[in-house]
Amino acid sequence: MNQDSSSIAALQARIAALEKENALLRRGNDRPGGKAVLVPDALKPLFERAEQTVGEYFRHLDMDPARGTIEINDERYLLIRASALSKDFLDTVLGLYADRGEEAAFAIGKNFLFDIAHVIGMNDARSFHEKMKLTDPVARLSAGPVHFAYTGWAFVDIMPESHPTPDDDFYLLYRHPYSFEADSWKRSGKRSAAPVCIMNSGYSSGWCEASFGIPLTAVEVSCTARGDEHCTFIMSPPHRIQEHLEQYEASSGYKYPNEKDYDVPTFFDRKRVEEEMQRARLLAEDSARMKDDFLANISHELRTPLSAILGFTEQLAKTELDAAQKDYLSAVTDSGNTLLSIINDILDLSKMDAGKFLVEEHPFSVQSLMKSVYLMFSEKAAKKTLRFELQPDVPDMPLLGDPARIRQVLVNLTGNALKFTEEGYVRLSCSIEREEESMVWIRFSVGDSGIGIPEEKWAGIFERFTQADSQITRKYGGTGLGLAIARELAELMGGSLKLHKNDNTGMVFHFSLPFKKANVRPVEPVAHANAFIPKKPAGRHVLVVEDNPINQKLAAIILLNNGYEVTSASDGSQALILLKKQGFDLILMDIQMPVMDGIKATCLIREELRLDTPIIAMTAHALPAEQEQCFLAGIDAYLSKPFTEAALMEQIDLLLNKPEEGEARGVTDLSFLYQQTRNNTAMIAEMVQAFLSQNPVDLAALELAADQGDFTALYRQAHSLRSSTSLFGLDKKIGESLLRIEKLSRAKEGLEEIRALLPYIANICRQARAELETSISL
Amino acid sequence: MKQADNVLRTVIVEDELLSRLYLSSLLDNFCPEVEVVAKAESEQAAIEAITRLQPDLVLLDIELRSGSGFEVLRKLEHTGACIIFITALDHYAINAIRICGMDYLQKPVENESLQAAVRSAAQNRDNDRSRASLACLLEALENGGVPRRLLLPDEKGESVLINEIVRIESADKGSIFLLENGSSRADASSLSHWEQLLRDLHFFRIHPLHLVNIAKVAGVESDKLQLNMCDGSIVPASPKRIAELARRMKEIR
Repeated sequence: MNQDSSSIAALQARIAALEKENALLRRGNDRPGGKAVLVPDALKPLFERAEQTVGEYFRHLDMDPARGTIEINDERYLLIRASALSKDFLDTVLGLYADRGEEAAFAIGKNFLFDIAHVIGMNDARSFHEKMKLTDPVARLSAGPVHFAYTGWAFVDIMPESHPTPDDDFYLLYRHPYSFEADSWKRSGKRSAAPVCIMNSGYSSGWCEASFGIPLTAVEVSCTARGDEHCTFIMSPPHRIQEHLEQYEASSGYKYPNEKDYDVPTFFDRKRVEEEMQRARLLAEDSARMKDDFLANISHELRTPLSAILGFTEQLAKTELDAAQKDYLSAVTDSGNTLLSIINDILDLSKMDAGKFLVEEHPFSVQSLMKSVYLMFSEKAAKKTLRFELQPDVPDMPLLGDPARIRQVLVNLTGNALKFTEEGYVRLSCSIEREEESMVWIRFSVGDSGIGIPEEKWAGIFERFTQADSQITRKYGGTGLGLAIARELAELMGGSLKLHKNDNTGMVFHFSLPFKKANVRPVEPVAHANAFIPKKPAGRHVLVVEDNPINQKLAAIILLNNGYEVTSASDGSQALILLKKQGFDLILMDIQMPVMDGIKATCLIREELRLDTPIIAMTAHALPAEQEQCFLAGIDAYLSKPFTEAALMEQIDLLLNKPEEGEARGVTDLSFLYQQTRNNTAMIAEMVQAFLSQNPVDLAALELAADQGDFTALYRQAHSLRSSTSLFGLDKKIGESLLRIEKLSRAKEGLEEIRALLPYIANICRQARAELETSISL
Repeated sequence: MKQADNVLRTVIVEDELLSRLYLSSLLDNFCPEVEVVAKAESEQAAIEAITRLQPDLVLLDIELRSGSGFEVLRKLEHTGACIIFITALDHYAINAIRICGMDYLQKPVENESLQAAVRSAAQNRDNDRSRASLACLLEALENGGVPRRLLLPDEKGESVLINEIVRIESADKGSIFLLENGSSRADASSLSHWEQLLRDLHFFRIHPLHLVNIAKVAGVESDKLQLNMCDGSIVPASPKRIAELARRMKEIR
């Protein structure tokens, strides 16, 4: 009970305080003469009538403080302290939108308040007009200011310049000698930077809008909360407000706050439109994502059986066949390859759409690139009566770029040109467009004297699934995806694919790309396909781990045909059982498998069985993250599905015949040094030499410090070693361990743990030195 | 061709051989305005080289926890050389280095950042600001690594005593520091930047727009969602953060 009486006392105190405040307010704002509205003489009769109407309206006024309501003519209203609403609302919005800056946040809050008050004003006016049966627009309007004063919003003085006609010329200039909004700011002791009678402006313009049936807005041009003498407002149709503000500014020296056009606040409309746009965007994004996922999945699903078809066809072609069978088989191969390239196109596009398409950067030679594209098509071109020309008009300098992607674009353009040109020429050329000290812009172009493309179709040909003429599809084939991909590739590399008409007939496609100049020679690609000569496997035994029976069989046939012995397992756990019984020379491991996947199996092979049999992973999703996971698990090489026989044989050969050269086994990574020294090989060589002589010394010092339990020296040595090894990319291997040693030795504890970490660190360093030694002797 | 007065005579202080070599060859190859006049592999060698050569620029990877690193800085205090620290992110005094507005590069040093730091050093050699920064840092190190002053990035060399800062307010373009004596300083860095730097020095982001020095809070009015500061100013508080502040205040006291 005690608690109740104390809370009642607190409430009583609060009520007393409010009453005191109200009394103060009333004293401060009662105006002499009792008139709530002052108007120019001409308007006086109107407003006297309005006072009667409003007085009548408020005659039946009942207050029920217990429920916090007021009843006017049977309508019940809830009491809110509007002053608190306006100011507190603005404060809240300022806080909520603080990240957008005060001005923007204020604008948001202002629009919101204005719009709410505008709607309240319109609604109040409508219900008032209905109840009092007012139909004359002028009578409706003039009730507004009176009603306004009765309900405690503000007193109103209408200035003689006003011209309240129900048309475009509507102009009202008025003041609030008392405004609850300005008052709430003044009482808080804070001077505002901008006019604050926002609800007042909204409510008045809402009332007048409902009265006259024309859109109106109001802007406060001076405000006592800002320190001005009066709260002054201009009301007019929204499209005229700017003009009135400017006139007012010119006559009074008032500078209105918005330099930009003052718009009709249309919060509710805007919100609706924004919401609809957002909904539409989400829907579109959703469906785009679904489409991308679908395309990626379906392409993947198609590629797996197709690669089996192509693989078996390849094997079949090696058997004895008669002429007709050979013909049929080559038709199967051609169609299969076409289908594969279409699927690859779709995969490429879906990757581009998903933003997952990455452009790489490594040293390459433009000349060899052009030459290889030329060679690829020369056989095909020789079958036609045309000149196939190569004009690589660039010096043979190494550049940094993504040769595979440039090649993809050139192959597409050259393929098209050859397809659509029967005689005359197809010309593959490139030239330097611009050159700076470290950059060069190269223009690639593919021109032909073929059937050409009518100019009105130019815009459309880069669109997906579009060809210049639907007849073309029937005659020449193709999906219409090639140019779309070529264009997007060119854009990803920083250029744009363009089209020109040739002098007489035919077309030129061209694109210019920027390249950084490279200081190192590109590594010539390992000879592919035909040039590959497999070494004699001499009865070596390969374990194929693959769940798909067709792929399992295909891999087995390829290996058998190349002279290997083969055993197959359909998942990781079967492979482990086999490996416990017998040794293999090599393991071909699928990654996605039921029961036990390839990564898990590899971990167990390395850690539990402690076997170092070379493992080649096969997987369809060649994402970098997955590749990294493979190498972490202890996989030696990586083959992306579908693979060709040549690619598989090459990997096997690399692992079985010269394992020490496998890049994947390396612990060092010189890319940081290459990047930072701008490929300065002399500088890198010097660093490598220094490392080779210094690293054993550092390691010995670290080991000595551990032997002696000297924490200070341990910290220092570990820290030094961490900086020196990180330059050669070793931080990925031993950075964590060294950091751990630093932490422990700083805390002067964990000597055992530190000692346990040392052999691993020494081992990696030894391996790194061996690698670096070979790298400089090359 | 180098012009004598444009040359930045530079001393590298780095005890680890590879990093020393790496840094000096980057400077040799990519910073033509730099002439490496000495490479010191210990603090003692550094002090000797700095005294003898009076360099314009010193690249420093030193252990600031120990007395000898401190001596190197003391030596530098009287030379007017520009200092660029080379540090690991987990460096003991990294926060102090940042609060004092000193230049630093993270290890392993990247070519671009090195060049930028050298360029800015070339422009700011021997000015009041770098002297003030160093004084700030030395004071911090004497105080166990806890800075007493900070240096606003835009200011010439006038430091601000951290325990005179009442609060920092977010402004249109940066932050405004409000000091106990009623004056204020404008700074171009964001409030979040200062929040991060000053968090350990008991500053608290009580509101998206306000960072307050907890020591300067005179009263917390939870019901009104505001703080009364010792200078009489009132700071709005976010409801969630006001509870967190109470916890922080309890921790401190």
